[in-house]
Amino acid sequence: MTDATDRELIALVAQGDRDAFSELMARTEDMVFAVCMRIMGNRETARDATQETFVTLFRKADRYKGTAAVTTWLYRVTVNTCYDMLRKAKRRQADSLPDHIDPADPQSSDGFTSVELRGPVLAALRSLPDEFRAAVVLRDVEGLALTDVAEILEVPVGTVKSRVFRGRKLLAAELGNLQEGSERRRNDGDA
Amino acid sequence: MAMHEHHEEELILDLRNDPNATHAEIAARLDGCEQCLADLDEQRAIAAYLADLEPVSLTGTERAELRTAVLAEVAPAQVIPLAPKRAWDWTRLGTVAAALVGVVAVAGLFTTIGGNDEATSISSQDSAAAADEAESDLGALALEAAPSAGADGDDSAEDQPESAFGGSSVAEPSSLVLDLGPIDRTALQSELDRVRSQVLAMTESSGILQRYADEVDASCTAELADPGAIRAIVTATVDGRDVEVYFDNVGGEFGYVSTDCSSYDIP
Repeated sequence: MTDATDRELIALVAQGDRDAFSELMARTEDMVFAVCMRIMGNRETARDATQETFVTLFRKADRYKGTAAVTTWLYRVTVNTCYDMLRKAKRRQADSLPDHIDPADPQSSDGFTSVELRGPVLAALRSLPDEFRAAVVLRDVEGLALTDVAEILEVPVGTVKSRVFRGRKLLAAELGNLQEGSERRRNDGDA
Repeated sequence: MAMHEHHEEELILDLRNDPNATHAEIAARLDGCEQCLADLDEQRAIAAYLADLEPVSLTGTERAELRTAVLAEVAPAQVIPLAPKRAWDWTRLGTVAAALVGVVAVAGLFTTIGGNDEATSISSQDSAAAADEAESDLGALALEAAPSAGADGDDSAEDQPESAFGGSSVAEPSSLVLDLGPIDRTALQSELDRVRSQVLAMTESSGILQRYADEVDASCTAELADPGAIRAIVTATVDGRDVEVYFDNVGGEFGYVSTDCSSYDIP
């Protein structure tokens, strides 16, 4: 089983082979988790998204047509799963918004915040619109080619370029703001 | 300005992706645009920053938990076997039949026939001969009862004697109505004949039938999905609640079902 290619494994998974599924999962779980982590921005929700991704992989393995690499297809499943979960989280958040909203408490967490997100880059990533974030994560963090990202996101290469470019610009602005904010807090503390 | 930005962003991205382009070449291709050069530097810095992020991975515990959770979720669906049909239970069988025949006794016998003193005086303590005679009448009435029998029973409520099934009331005519719908009357007659001798010895009340109806609700199965299993059905309203009493054609077993639940039970 360990000698089988990803394509061979997924063909077996499509027939309900759980051993093949376990092997494919062992090969790709870190890759899936990493993408979930960068897109979801929180370890706990990233774990949930990873789990959901693999359940989807098992149930929809027969939909893999073999035109793209298995990993490309799996990236697509992962990103779509994350999008779904983010949409649901936003809906839940909107549903539970009180009529009167108090000013934001900078110390409070918003449900996505975690220890990892306190790092400036991840916090900035989290601030990006979902489509920009997925493009930047796949292109710059995962190091995928623009054509692969386009295939995963099911958009033209030009759209990927635009999303990556704008995502980086927003990220740079956000990082600058974060940096300025932290410097201001440090100065305030010193004063 | 917008045109310029759109054009440059693609060009800048292409340049950023070209590791062989020298600064002079890039500057030339950007027509010396300072803003574009600044954008390029920013793009390069962010991309390098992101590429250098520490890789994230699952911990050993997370990995094990993930695999367990995923494999549990994709496990083949558990097939829950239908509850095995229980052995013939004369007590329950008698209870339901008692209610059925009791309806007839209340709503039919004392009104349709009217004034049959011998029949109305039947009780579980009566002699076997009297019981046999009454059984014969009841059996016939069970198949003759009309939907309006309950209303008739109301009219003659004052004249009704104590229940044939003991001291407590079998069922109040106002709350228990027998409605013979489109049924196989021959099969019903056959089953009623078969249990009749047991029925007269019972001391049951509508309350018990109600409890059984509650029990059906609590233990529904999907077996009723096979209508071919039902040989005959009698619908009764007990305390304002619909209960269908039917005869199963599987080994002559006797069961009941509440109409607010698409399932049935074999008592």
